[in-house]
Amino acid sequence: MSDERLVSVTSDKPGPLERLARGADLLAAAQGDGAEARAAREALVRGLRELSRTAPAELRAWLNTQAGRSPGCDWVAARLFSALGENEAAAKAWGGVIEREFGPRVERHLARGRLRADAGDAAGACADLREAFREPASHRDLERGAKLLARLRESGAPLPAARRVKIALLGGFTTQLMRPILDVSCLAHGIDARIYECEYGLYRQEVLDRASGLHRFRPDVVVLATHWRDAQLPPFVEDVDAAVDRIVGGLEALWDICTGELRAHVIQHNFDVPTVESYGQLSRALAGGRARVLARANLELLARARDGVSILDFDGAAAAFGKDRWSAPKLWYLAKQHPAPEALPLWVDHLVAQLRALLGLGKKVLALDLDNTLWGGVIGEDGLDGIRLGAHSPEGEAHQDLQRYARELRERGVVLVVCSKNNEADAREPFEAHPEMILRMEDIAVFRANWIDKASNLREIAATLGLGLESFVFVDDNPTERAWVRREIPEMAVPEVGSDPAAFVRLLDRGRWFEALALSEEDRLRAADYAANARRAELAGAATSMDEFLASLEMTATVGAFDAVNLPRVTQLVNKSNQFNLTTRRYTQEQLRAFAESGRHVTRWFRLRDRFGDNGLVGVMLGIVDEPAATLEIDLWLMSCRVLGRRMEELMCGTLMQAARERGLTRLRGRYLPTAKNGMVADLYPSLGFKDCGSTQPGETVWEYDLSSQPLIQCPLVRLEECSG
Amino acid sequence: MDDLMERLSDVFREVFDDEALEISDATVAADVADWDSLNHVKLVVAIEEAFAVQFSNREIAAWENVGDMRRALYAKLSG
Repeated sequence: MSDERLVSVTSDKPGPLERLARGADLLAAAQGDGAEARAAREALVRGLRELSRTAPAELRAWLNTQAGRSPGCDWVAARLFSALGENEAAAKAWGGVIEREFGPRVERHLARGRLRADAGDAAGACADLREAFREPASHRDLERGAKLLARLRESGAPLPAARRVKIALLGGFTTQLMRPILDVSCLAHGIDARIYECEYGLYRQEVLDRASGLHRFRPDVVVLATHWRDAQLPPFVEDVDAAVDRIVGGLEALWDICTGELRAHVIQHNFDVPTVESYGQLSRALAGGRARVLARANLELLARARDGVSILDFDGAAAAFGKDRWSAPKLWYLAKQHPAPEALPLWVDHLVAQLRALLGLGKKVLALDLDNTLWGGVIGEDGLDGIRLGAHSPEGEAHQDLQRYARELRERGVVLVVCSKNNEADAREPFEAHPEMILRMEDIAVFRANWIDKASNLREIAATLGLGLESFVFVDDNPTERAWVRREIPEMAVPEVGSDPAAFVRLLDRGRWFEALALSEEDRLRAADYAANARRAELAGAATSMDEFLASLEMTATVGAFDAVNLPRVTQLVNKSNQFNLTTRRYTQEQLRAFAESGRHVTRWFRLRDRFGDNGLVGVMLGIVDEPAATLEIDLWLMSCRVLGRRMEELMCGTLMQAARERGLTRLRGRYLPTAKNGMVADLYPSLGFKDCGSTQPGETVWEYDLSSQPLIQCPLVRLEECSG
Repeated sequence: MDDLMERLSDVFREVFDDEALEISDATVAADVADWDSLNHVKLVVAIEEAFAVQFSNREIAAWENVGDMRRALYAKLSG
């Protein structure tokens, strides 16, 4: 239906101005980020493109009115400015699209990458390539990325990469469509690949002929991309052993030359067993059936693979993709293309995973969120009985499977860490007491549950382990947390696992982050080693590392007495806080205003900012002046859980002590009234040095701090900015 | 019809990585730099994907110019 509307832009030969006017209407109606709006905008660009040749001045003028109005307008403007050849204006328009994170992420990043490449910023363009291909992409998008990479290579600029490697691609089929996809996928994963391709089908000759291009290239890795046709098997063989020996032995001879003379690592593809067989199920049922013999050959490849040779499960990749769509006979006949172009990204992902493992770029740590990731629900709110975990519910079983997968990773040497926004005690509870937990505390090398932002936590965890952030994979159901960590720590892998637990394991597995070429006893013990080291580091440097970390947050607090501006938020906090709340007394806004205006009360609100943002108003204190007893009684003390663990409590207490001093009062008295929810502050007063002075009510505790004999509490980690009133 | 040609042109621009490429019914392979057999395969794959159609190798072999491609495409889309 967008075509009908488009007709109004192109038919009846209206003049350019009229077309542009209609175009403006169409554009105004197609502002969303959905498929329909996108299609409408594409159609609009196609309809108006011609004006770049026939009426460029009118088009340019119109674009100048549209650009900057919205990301949708910017998108259209960027495309049409490009058609006009106005690269600067196009760049600016793309900037609008990128900033608002509009449209498909691959498209945005490739557009910006191209602009950066044109401006000579190769490093920036590579960063965009990495961002574009964080997640599996279509072969179409990868080809676009490859074109950008080709441009960068032509420019001769050095490309930032963790490893440089020479790869020889020797195919039993055409590898020309796959090669650029391999190139860009490698770069996106930190590998700058120089690729040599031989003429299809001539892989044997390339290896055997010592004067070939392959030998002159001196590769680091030889990829033998053979497939089922290269086994040259009839549908049925009599002598299976001889057939398998011929097939595998023939390849072994090539391995010997590659590893021996070329000193290259070989990645040997196994045989993708076809599903179309004239023998039907006999192909498997008979010992000599082709499918059966190929399967045996594949096992034999694994048996004979030795140091320097790894087997790539081409058959497995085909199965994962779907063998019906993998085979594409038309393209084989046309160009000896195999597998189907749609399958290339999946195949390349398998290959790049092996290359990463080979080059030591495999990931080492799996960082896990807790709520709605390792169990259904929020432990701090739902409690041990309320979280969903276990085979008795679909949700619970899905979460349990993620735990199982994580534990299996740990068993082969991957380090597990927890990074959760929770009170630590709440977070530990399921690990210690829930019968359906698969993971236990001893599986977790570093356990961080607090209210500090996750990027900071992950940095601290990495420092504790002594491992780089680029060796981490972070799994969290919350898209905001994922986006935050991706932004703050671009080198960390943050797979797009979505929020449906049923898909977590598959989406995590798909990244092949922890691919390894071998498993040693050392690997299996490694996770335990890291855990032990981490504990040691924690014990040794507990205070200092946390303090350093807090200092690095550059926290700044502002404090003031209750005033008109802050009163609504103060009231809200007073009535809503349950956990960090010493007395849980509730007051109306009027009552709180009255306290502020009375001469016999000390009121304070607290705001906290840090390097990552403004936490807003996070604390409230109310003191009642008791002149005869020279005491300031703390009637209200509450704080938002968001800023627990930052030592804000010390700042708040110190502020009130200062206020008491200024009024000539010598004692501070505080009460703790226990409720079902405020257990976390039961020991707050004694922890600050207050002394127990008995109580009159059952359950309640009363504490006192003597300002004449005890020191004022300071909090050097939080800078106090202003104190009004 | 115009829109079909424009959409086809877009596919060409994509495959040949040339935003300024202009094609017409008379365009042949010799007219476009880099239009070799590899890019021809890429073109076929891209057209099939962009328009959700399938061409047989025989149909593909019959194309002599862009006009032939466009007419074949139009026939598939309307038929």
